[in-house]
Amino acid sequence: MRRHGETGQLGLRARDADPRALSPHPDPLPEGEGVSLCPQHPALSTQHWIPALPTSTLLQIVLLVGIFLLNFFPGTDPDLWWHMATGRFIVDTGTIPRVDPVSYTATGRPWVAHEWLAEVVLYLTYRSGGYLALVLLAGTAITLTFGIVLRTLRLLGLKPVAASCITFWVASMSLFGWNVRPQLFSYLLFTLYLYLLLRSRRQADRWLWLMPALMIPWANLHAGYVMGLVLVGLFLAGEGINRWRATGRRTPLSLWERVGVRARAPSTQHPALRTQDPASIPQDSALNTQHSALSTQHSLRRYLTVAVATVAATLFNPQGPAVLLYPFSYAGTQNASMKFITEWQSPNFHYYYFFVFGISLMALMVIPMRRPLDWALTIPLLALTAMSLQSVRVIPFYAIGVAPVLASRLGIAVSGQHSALSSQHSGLSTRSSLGTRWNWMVLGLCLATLASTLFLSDRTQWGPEPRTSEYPAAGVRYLRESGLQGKLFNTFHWGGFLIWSFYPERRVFVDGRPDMYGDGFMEDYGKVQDARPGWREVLDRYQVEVALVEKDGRVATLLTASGEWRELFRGEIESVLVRSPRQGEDRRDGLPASVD
Amino acid sequence: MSEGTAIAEQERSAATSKGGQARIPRWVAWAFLSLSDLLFVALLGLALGLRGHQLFNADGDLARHLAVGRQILATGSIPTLDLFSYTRGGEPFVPYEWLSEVIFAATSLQLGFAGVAVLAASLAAAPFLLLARWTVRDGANPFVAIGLLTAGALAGSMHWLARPHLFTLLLALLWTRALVRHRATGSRRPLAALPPLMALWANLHGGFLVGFVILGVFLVGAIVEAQRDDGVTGRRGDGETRGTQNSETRTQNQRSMVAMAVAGLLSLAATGLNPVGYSLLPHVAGYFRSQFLVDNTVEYLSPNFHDLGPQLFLGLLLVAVVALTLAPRPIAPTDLGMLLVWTALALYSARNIPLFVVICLPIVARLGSEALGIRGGGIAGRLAATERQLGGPLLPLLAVAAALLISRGTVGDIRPQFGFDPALFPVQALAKAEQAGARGNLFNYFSWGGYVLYAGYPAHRVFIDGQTDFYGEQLTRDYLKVARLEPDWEAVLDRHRVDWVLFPHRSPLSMLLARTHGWRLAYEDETADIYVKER
Repeated sequence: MRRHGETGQLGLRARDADPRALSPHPDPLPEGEGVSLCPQHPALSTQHWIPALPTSTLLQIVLLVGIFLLNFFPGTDPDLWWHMATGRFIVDTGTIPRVDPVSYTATGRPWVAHEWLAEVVLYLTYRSGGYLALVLLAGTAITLTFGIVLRTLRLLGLKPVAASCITFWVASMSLFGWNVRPQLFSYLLFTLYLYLLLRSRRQADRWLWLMPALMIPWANLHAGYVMGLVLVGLFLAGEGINRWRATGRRTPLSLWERVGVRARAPSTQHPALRTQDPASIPQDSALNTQHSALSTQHSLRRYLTVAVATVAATLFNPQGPAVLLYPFSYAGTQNASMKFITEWQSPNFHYYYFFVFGISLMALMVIPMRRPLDWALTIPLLALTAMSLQSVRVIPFYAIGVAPVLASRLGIAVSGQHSALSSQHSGLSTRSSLGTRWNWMVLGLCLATLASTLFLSDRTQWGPEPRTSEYPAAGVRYLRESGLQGKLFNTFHWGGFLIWSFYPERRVFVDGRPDMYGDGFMEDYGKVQDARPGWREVLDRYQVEVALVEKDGRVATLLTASGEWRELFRGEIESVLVRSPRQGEDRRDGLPASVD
Repeated sequence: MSEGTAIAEQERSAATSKGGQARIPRWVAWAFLSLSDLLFVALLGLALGLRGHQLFNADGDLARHLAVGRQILATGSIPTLDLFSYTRGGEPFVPYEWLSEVIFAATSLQLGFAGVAVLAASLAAAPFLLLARWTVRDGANPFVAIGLLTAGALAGSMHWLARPHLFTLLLALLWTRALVRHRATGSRRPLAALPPLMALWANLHGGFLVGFVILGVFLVGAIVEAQRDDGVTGRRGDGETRGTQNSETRTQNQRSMVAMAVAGLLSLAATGLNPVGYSLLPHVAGYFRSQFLVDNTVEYLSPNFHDLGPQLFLGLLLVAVVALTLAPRPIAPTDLGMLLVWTALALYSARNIPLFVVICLPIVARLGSEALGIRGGGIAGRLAATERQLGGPLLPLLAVAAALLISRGTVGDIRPQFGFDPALFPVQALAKAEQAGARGNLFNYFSWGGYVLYAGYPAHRVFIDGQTDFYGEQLTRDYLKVARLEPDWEAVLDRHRVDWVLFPHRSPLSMLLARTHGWRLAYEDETADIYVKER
């Protein structure tokens, strides 16, 4: 028989045996990560050897497992093929290509293989474990990403339930970007950067110096490293404003004052220090006084030094400064990438998967803001908002960036109403921390449901080979078996698959690298694909003899109707057409000779 | 504090300051240019100059409106059966824009295309004249207000087209203003304007539904405000005086809600005052039930933030978020509701950006001014005080008259060319269609349907035009099947017994017909090709 106050088999502490634990509303235990024990009568604790599972922990486990399993559902990304082909090229030849090796239309054209490391990783992963290994890799990266988001929110003082809800929210916002692609590494590293920056306000240790160290692989993994630089730069600028407002230093504002804008009375506190309602700030918050006192000790110089080192770290790559210049090739809205690639377009809010993003924008209007404003979080968020509305591919970064802002705002919004989200003594948090052994059964049911969904769905990908139902696998087989020769015209989004299937025996017309092909060539491709005036000249100029295009698509219909091409093969989704011998052909766009 | 309360406060402070400041005589106020007048003149010039070509040529709908308006003027009756297409000829037709079509057609007949251009430009610029006056009068920093309104005007300028929706911008502003005035003063007089305004609106443009959305937001805002006030007072543990005040406020709020609800019901009844009565409302609302049509109509798509106009809208959106964040006082529920609803609608459809600008910018300007802090003195203060006293209808009307004289070439050497651009519309092709043997059922390019009616009716009737709400989803799908060269495209042409095709020169369909047995190229120019079915 165990005595009161004695630490039991399951690690019950002395205070757990306090008679208060028997009251209907016991004080909650501080919540930690992982499984914790609930306070209860010691007599009861001896009857069960299974530890209690707090509801909040249950929620986090289900969330992260769910996020991991969702990675089995996306279709095969069209770019994955050429990424793996590039990885294969690098592994086979031991060199990183500096000119395009895979197309006949841009042979010898300079190409910055800025994702070479990710491509090698993807290829080696595939070679060692097939497509399933790639999915596991992607699932791990995504789960880690949102695990860090969760951790960041906890760092800001949110209770596990609230943190899990926000993590679920931002994860669902970025769902469409979960594909096996190099940008997964960018999501993970961006999240890590944000965590490190926020952590640096809490603890003045050397973890901040991980940022330049992480930048070295990042600059070799994906061009999204520029998002890391943007984050660091804007965070630094925001911190500068925070300090300026906190110290009351004023820049000359005479012009502003003349036009009626008066400078506000300068704040005397850093936003991370000051709050309207001190009780609303959780004791373990990164924004509480203690932590922020540390933050104020950090000079801007430290951030600046780290930022400079981070920029310098980008130069550690095989292509040198070219990688630094590469992201600027996407600047503006008139380049080929912006015109041709869907993920660079603005979000179409008619599609349900952008609703969450739209609602998040609304939420920023509705939920009150912590005063004074934390510019170090706000400026990056404003920039991410603008970039996300320009290009959907930035939305996952926005999702990660908005999480701490929502957390910070919710912390304020609910504190005045004694809500459970951040208060230490709320009913919900009490209930959520009251671990129950029944939660193990709930967890089992949840995991079983998730697993059965995974097993039963016909969209799940866990075979050794990626699903090819959206790719012209039959057409490729036909071309290979028939031995049909001649330069091939192919649809843009099938280019990667063809490179993977054919290289080096056959090269492609175009693939998912419009930045490499250039604006002029992509305009030519667009003429053929959209059947615009001049399409025939383009096919003639590149001496195209064979076409692998969508079945019954505009190009196939026009080519067949022209009389110069005949269809040799019709698959489920594709047609293979070949140019007929030329006899007295009219080279103008489809107009018969009689029109003259 | 709601926008209305802010305005009431501003009016009180203005009244107080009047005692110490000499009032400008009315003739001086009318004769001197105010900031708002300057903004109006600048936007009028911009609409006629840089956007003059766009007014007529951005889409083909103006031509249809002119054709329908001309038909009404010629026959003296408003068509309630379709006269203009052979695909749905004789079927019931809801002429929900008949009045604006008559206005545009009458202007065209009396003043030519220059008159239409000046009318459209004036309608586009007028909301900003009123917005500038009211926003500064309501207490916004004049620099903030004019800056935001200029950006807002440019953001919405992509929709400066000579079309009935311009009336909606103006009417939405007047409608909102009436509600704001009612909430500010408690007077029911502004609400009395709503039913007649709605009767007019329902005959001018289908956008009259916007009025009910705005009214709904005001009603919900009033309910939330009432709940909030009750809650605040209840928590204070107030005494007798506060209880009386609370009771008065509650009663006032309840009266306001009832008055707005009654005005809304009367306005709803007023929508029936049109040639087709109460079948108008379900018809207009029914359009939004077809997701296919909404998804395939360019102006209903989400904004493309790669373009300048939406980029400016994005800038305004960010300003709104920052202003909301920095404003010293919590935003009123009604204002917040407006911002949320119109931001959501503008993100959903680019065509709502001008409405966002007209409805939400006064709120953003006020919040921004509060966030930045308004000085009583300085240039801004003096300018605001002067601006409040200046401004009448005289100078804007003179500007419109001058624009008309210049546009028609009566005054000065500048004579801008307004009208349908032959490089964009089949002006020559249609003139020579009959000569080329084009008779019978026409399959026309969607954007040219209106022009075919304008230049060819009654000799030619269309397959389809911009009135997709009338043609419906199935016919639109049929059209797209042919235009996109989808399988069975020929079957569609056969089913509708198409005799000739009028499509852009060297378009995919044109190139396909050139290689298709049974079709003959009868005419071509740089803009259009005519193919005739050989029978």
